[in-house]
Amino acid sequence: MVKEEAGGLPDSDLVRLAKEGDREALDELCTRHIASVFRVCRGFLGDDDEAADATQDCFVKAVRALPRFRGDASFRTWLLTIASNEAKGVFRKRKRRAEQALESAGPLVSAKPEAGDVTALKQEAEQARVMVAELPDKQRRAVTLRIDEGLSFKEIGEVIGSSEGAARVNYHHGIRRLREMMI
Amino acid sequence: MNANGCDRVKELLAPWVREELSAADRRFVEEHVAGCEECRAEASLVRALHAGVPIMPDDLTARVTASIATTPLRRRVWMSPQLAAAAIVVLALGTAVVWRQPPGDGNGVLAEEPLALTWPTDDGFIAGVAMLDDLSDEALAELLEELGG
Repeated sequence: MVKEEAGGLPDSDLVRLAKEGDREALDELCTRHIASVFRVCRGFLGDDDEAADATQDCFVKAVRALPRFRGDASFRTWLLTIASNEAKGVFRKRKRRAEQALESAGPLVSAKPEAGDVTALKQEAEQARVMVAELPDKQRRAVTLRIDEGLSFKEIGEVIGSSEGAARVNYHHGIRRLREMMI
Repeated sequence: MNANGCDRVKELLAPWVREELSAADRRFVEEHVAGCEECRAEASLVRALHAGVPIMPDDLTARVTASIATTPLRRRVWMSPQLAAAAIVVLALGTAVVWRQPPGDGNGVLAEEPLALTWPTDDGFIAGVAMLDDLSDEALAELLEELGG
């Protein structure tokens, strides 16, 4: 990809150097892709702090797994897959915590504490982002990977673990559902 | 793809808002959107989503690079020659225990014989000694240590 070449060495060379123990190459890979990783996590989780933590954990896991990276997919796709899975794990933990809190608090507590915040949002962009968080898992990831990261449907399929066709369907269903929610 | 190009346009809306389209595709999308209410609504949503792309906190890069600086870069671990030799010895012994027929009994069944009769030698280590000829004394000592000897 063009972005890989923009900062100097292509990702594949940096990965090879990093595997040989070159810390500068590792830092360059981090600097090059951290914004994408953060956006994927943020798009999934809808929370800056959680997304920042997930981004950090994603990179630590990627460094540990780097010797096993074979280059079948691009480094970026591989990294975003880790990010996506990391965010998904955080999301599940949060959901479990919310369910436990709900059970302990009794039936009068709202399951959607953020509902008031949504009404306070003025900007259409912010509203759209909030709505994204309401989409089913694969639709949410397909939409954010397509719009935020510009991934092809084939790459999205690699990240979310589906075929290219299924990734395309998830994206379009997600957009259609967002339109319905935004009305 | 439908006749009026809506499907094609919807495929291109994300790269359109990201300004990644060629001039021809951009013109195609914009002309279509101008005359199609359905696609104009979808374009408006995609534009809003893109406008709301999250901004990364300023200090995150420093935080993450500091974190990975303390993460060990593990190299792929291959089995050492000594460990490989040990694995062969264990495999050979295991195979011998299972398949060796007791002397004097052409079709003896393993389960019917005491274990001592089916063991290839009284000493398990000696059984594999021919395979370890090439090892130095030091390597052999290390191997024995790995085997718990």
